Amino acid sequence: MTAYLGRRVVGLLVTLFLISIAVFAVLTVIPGDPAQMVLGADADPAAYQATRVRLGLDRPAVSRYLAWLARAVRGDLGRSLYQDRPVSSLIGARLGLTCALTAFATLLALIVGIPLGAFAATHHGRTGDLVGRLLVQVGMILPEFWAGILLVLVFSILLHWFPAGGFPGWSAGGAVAALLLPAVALSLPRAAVLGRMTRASLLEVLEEPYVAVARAKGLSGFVVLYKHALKNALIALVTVLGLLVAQLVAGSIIIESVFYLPGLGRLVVQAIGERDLPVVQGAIIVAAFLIALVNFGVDLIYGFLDPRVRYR
Amino acid sequence: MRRRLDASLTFGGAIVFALALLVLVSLFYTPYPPTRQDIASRLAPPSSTHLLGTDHLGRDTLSRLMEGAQNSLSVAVLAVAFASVVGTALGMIAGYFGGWADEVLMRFVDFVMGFPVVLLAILVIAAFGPGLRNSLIAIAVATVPSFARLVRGTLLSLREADFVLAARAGGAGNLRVLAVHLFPNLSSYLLVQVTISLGTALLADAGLSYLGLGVQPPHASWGRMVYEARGFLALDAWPAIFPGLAIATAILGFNLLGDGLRDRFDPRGAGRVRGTRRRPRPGSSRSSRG
Repeated sequence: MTAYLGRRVVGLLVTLFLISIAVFAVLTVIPGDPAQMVLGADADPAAYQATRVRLGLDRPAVSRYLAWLARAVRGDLGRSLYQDRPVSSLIGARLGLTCALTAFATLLALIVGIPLGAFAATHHGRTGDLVGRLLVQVGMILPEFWAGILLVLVFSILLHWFPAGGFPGWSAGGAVAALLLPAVALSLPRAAVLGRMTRASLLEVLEEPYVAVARAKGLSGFVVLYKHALKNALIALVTVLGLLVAQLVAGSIIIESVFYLPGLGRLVVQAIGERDLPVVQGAIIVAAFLIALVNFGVDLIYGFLDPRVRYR
Repeated sequence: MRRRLDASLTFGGAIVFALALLVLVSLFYTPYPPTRQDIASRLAPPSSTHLLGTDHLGRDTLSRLMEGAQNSLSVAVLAVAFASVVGTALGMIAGYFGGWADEVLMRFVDFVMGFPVVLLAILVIAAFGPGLRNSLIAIAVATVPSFARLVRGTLLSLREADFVLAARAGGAGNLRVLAVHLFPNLSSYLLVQVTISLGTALLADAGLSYLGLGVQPPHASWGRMVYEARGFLALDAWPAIFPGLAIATAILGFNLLGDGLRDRFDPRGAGRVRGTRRRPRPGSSRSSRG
């Protein structure tokens, strides 16, 4: 396990390094001069020079990258071009909401998707299977932002059960009510994917000899399914969990826009509009970092659940 | 079972055909100019003058839906066209020659796959500005890995096959083996992948244009139409419902067509584990994280 852990840590570091290079490189090749964008076209040449030095634009890209990286690992992501606040504090103020939304949606996707897939698999070839597959198909074709809008339409505008958007702050009741509809919208496509995968992997496991043995011993269908079959079927799901969380982080950027939630996504979209590059840079690094971290965790769980993986 | 499978092929094919027709017609005719505003009749419900109603600026929803079909579908088609060519070439190099080329490529593929399209697009768009071309680039790059993996996996299982050895023994060079002997064996997989990727690309375009990162106003794309209608949801929901319905229907069409094609080409697994889109194909058993 130690060797496996070591390999995964190295893998994580390499990934983070690649991400940092990619983000820095893309935002370095941009057309136009950031100093000029800050000051406007008819700026005083002396002020222009000073801004160039302040933004580090007078030095070569590699040295700028190293300096930026050295500051980034200490949590200093630079300053916003327009809000005159450190990027890290802008991100810190919004990260909690995005994390809560993502976690909420992951939970929903799991508790809806897995039973749905198990239900379809155990009713294989019958009406229940058809219904399950139909639900999966519906979940797969609904864009999450549109699902969100339909939810607002029904539960906020028609029924007045939940707020149509906005975030009242971290009081227990208000926060849950504000995050419920966005989390449902966000989880729908992922629940569908999980349902489909659970069904497929369970159908395969149910053909295994050990399931036949368990049945032959006289164990009830329930015990065979939940104690023997589902456990092994779920191992396959762990591998996609990382990918799923990555999609959830990305999806939350869109969903935050639909529900006017002050999270990381809204920050990025706004920053793009203002071409506030340090903010975009920082937010993408943080999002990518989160995703890489979750993937790392998933790898560890996978190695724990399936010992064969450790020796590959 | 056989009949049901053909149903998804027929139904999916019909939707895709209808979409293509809609785009074709929109090139020559839309009921109203898609960007013409008519403030007097804004947020009008569906009626005989405006079949699908109007939006908050009094623009005809059907006409905008037709223009949106052009924009959204051309992004999807171009992105997938690029990704299929580049992805196939990369996958061929990796799967056929193996070695360090394979290692490097698979690391790249894992990296891009772990990086969601939206983040990639935001990066590209932050650098080069919003617009149809840049969101297209982002979607295209994000779509390359699925083709590269598919082709690599299939080639790994085929490159030692008897017909390849026979061709080589007969004096065929690498290029000839790849182009004449191996490529035809890939084409059915590729066709399925192209169909499914079109759906995924359409979904990505919808999300990006919802965020305002795709087609710029006043032009229409399906995602942007939903966004523009969001603010007026309490007054009139129709302008939000129709474009969303269009996106969902189009993706359904591509998904069904892809499923139907797959079952047509690969009757073996058709019955048992139907609907498992990521069922490992021959040789692609390697997971994204080794």
